Amino acid sequence: MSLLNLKDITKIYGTRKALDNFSLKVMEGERVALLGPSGCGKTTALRLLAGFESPDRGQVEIAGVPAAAEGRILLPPEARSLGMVFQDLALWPHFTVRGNLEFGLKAKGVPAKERKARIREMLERVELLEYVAAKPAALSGGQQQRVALARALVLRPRALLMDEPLSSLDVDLNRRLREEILRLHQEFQFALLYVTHDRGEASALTERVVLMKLGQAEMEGTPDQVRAYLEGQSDYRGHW
Amino acid sequence: MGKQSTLRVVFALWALNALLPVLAMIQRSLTPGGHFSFSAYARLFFWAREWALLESSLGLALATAVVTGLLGLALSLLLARTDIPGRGILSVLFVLPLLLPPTILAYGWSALLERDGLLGKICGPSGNAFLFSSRGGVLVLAASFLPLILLFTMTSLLSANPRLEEAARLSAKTPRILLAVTIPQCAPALLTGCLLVFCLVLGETGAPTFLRVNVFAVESLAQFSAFYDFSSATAAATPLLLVTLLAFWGFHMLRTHRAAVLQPVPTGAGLQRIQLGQLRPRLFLLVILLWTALAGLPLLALVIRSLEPSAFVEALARGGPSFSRSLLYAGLGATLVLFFGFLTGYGRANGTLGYWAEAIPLFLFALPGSVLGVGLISLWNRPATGSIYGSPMILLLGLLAQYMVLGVWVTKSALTFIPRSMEEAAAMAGASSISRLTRITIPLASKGLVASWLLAFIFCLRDTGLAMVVYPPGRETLPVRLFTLMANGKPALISAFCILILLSAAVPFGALALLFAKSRS
Amino acid sequence: MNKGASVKTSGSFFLLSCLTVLLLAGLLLALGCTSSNKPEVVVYVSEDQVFSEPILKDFERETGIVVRAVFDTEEAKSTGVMNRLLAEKENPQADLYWANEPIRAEFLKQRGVSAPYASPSAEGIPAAFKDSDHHWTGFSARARVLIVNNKVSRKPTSVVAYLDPAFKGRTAIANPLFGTTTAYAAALFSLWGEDKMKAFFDGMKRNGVKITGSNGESADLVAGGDCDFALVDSDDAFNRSKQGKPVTMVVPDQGQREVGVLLLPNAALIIKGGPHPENARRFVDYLLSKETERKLASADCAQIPLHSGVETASYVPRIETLKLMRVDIAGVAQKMEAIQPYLKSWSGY
Repeated sequence: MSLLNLKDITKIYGTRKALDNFSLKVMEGERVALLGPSGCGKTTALRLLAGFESPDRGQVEIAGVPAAAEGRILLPPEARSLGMVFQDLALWPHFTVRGNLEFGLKAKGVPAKERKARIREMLERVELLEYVAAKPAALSGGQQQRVALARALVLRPRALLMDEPLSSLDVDLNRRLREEILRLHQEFQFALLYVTHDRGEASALTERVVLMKLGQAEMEGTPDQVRAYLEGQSDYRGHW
Repeated sequence: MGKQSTLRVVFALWALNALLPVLAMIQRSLTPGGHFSFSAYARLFFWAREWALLESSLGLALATAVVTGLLGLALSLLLARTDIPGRGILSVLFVLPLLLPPTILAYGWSALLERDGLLGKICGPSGNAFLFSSRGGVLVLAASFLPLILLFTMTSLLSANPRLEEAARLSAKTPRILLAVTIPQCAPALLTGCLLVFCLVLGETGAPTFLRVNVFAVESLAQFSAFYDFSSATAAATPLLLVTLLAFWGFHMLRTHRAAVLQPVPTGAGLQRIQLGQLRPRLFLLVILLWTALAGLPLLALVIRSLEPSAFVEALARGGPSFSRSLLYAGLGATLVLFFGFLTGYGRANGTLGYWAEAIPLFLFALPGSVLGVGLISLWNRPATGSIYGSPMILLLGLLAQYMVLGVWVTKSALTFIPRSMEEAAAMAGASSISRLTRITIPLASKGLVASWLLAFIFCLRDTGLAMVVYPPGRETLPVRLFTLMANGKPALISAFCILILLSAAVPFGALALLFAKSRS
Repeated sequence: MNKGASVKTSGSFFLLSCLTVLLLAGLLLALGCTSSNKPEVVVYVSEDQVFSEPILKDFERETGIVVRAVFDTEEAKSTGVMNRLLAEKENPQADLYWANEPIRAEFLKQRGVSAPYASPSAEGIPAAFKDSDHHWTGFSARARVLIVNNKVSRKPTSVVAYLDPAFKGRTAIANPLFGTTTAYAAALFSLWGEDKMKAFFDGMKRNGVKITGSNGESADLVAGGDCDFALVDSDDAFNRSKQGKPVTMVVPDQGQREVGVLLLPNAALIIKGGPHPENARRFVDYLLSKETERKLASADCAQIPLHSGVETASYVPRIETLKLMRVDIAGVAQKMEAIQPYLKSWSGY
């Protein structure tokens, strides 16, 4: 059974079709990338899965349970047990690093002792234990990224949605964080849906790439298959 | 019931509270003598005096809005973006008049310009002639409402994105940058302030009455006291309301309704202060002279007049209970405005509530308080609701109706600056709507909420028109007490009362000033 | 996935909002219902607060009955207590009304707002100042006088001075649509007849009279030297005099063939259906007493007692020494409605 399922989704904003009869399945533990240029609908697909939008047509399912259908959200975001790392990270500036991680655990009713243990464990994993009492504004860009990752994963979600989280980082930091994500995936075995416009990121982090264009899936396959497809395109300019 | 429905229900509750009295008045105006008739409205179109008065009101409102807009912009730039000395103190001084009903400033000016007044001896009769005219009206109302422009515009300037100016600085000099980048950035806030001033002046009755300026709001209310004709009075208020709606619609069409946030961003963000160089002392002097002319002199005249040994003692004796009552009612009124205003502003910010959630509060803001007051009496003075009518609650319901717009606009602006991903992240973390609101949104918007409460507090405290009509017997507020004492009260006593009102508003105002200062440091 | 939890949590938003609103409402009602067990009386007062409040406080002190008052404001154009009384007619909040002139009281009687009460304290007050049906009783009167700037060498002695070309553009009168000036216009109408009254008012206008918003404003114009004289109430004139302004009060029309001075007493009337009728009657008895008249005579308003034998200062005119305008208040009140259309157009409405 697929964990995340977008079935024949159409989503329109004003006169613009962000998604046009788009379908996507992500299995448990799978790592999938949504790759495409700006405006191709990849962030919209992510937001539909997260529960922030409802489709105009089609259905969203989470672990086989209908989560959203035409114009209606049947399962709100807080009930979907998914994690998300936002493009702007959305770290709460008035909470410390501990506070950012603890927020979700408290919301889920995790007892204090267990909260403490899980926060400690996660911060050790992302090598930020010494910054537990710091506010996000005091951290570097890379450190903030790791806090955002830790915040999502401390809740042990079944799937992690990532919206271009590494786009503003330098090459070295980017590489380090990719390794971090893979390591954490190895450990926690969450499904990963990774939105990016960077082919290198898609290739390094995922085992399946969905190539999107104008709200539709143009092509889908392994990173190698997608590269071969792109190289065969007449307007292909870059390198993988 | 979901979050969206709750927000709609909360706004609907407010709208019911605010509009039912107005509808009661309209119903009454359409049924004079017990049968349906448009006569009260039909008369409007044939009444030449009415159109002349409306023209005079529009002229006064427009002139005041323009004068305060221009002065406010210049002052805001000087105080927020240059190295003019004493910026903090000057900001506080210029905002001071907002704490007082405009009639008090008018009274101060008349004390200044009367025959034996400080300036009266110099100016002679021409001074008084100037004051008791529409020009005097513009002076007094501009001094009273300039603080609103300053509050909105200065905050906008202080929270501007410094990168935009930095990009311009690569190729242009300061004057060009001001014109092309800085001023356009703060234009929405400035225009919001001007619109509020326009509406406030349209509905203002106290100062124009005192200065013998024939304006529409005053003359329409004359229908009450001369003819006890509620139908005509309601009908006569209609043009004012139509103008307000029109102004707001035009404003909305320009898409300039993003009011400034009253939640200052720390200036460590990198906004560069403009160096005034040789102009610095001259501009400083000019600003001081401006404040003296607008507010300093009339306030000084009041202080001097009140300096009789018994004046303050008598004022405290007569006004003691009113003082504490005023603070209590204003505090509760501001809390109600914040509660309903925040939820409505939240609904506007996240798209749950439409355009009417701002238009209707603005409409109520412009409505003369006494018209609203009589509507409240019509609606609530029944045996079944006597416990509400006979209590301070009737005044609080009126204050909530009248000043809601302050809560909506300020909180909506504060919320617009919070990325929606903040709440979304909390949703992903499993937090409920309530938890997201109370633990994420409200803390992030807290400064804006506090500023909204303080602004509502100041307006509730200085309210006169509404309070005069509906205050429960024996429970008048301080401004009402002032106006009832003005009839043959000793000038020293009246002046002492004015000073007391100023001091009673100074505490929350001081808190506001501290809030700004702390945020900027 | 806990669907049940999501239903519960979205409902809690609504619940919390409801609870907050109810809490606030409860606080407010509690605030309103903080009435003590003390007896009380609710009085609406049109007489200037500065003069009337001491009387209310004295009554409170002497009887232990708490007085809760609503006062009128200076500006006639504001919605005053008359309008509250009319608006509240179906569910009265006030127990009695202290009117600053009897025409308003008569008006309320005609609109069915008042209830009759023959107070024992009314004995000794001339019949001309009482309602024959006992709905209202007059006390402590003001006279309609001329306030004259001391720079005027030839002081006017009659209201017809408004027509004197020597005073062209230098006179003021409060808008006759409001307050005591309405009563004066109606009194003239009653005495002179419609044609003569209209001729007088039209003549005033041709002679450049300034129409002000109130008697106080008229008095200020004269005190400030912007006008030579104005027709105002005696307390306005006394007040300016006491403030050291260069003005003199002239009691007009005392000559043999002249109309006499219009005396406008305060008037007390009980509101029909008021919440505390017994206390209202006690208060009326207090208001109409000689002691109250003595206090109002010695205050800055220097009001003229209607009871005989009330001790007053020398500067307070005695009713016996004045030539009074002979008018019937009830008749004047009725005339007010009849002349309203003319006065509306005269004032520019």
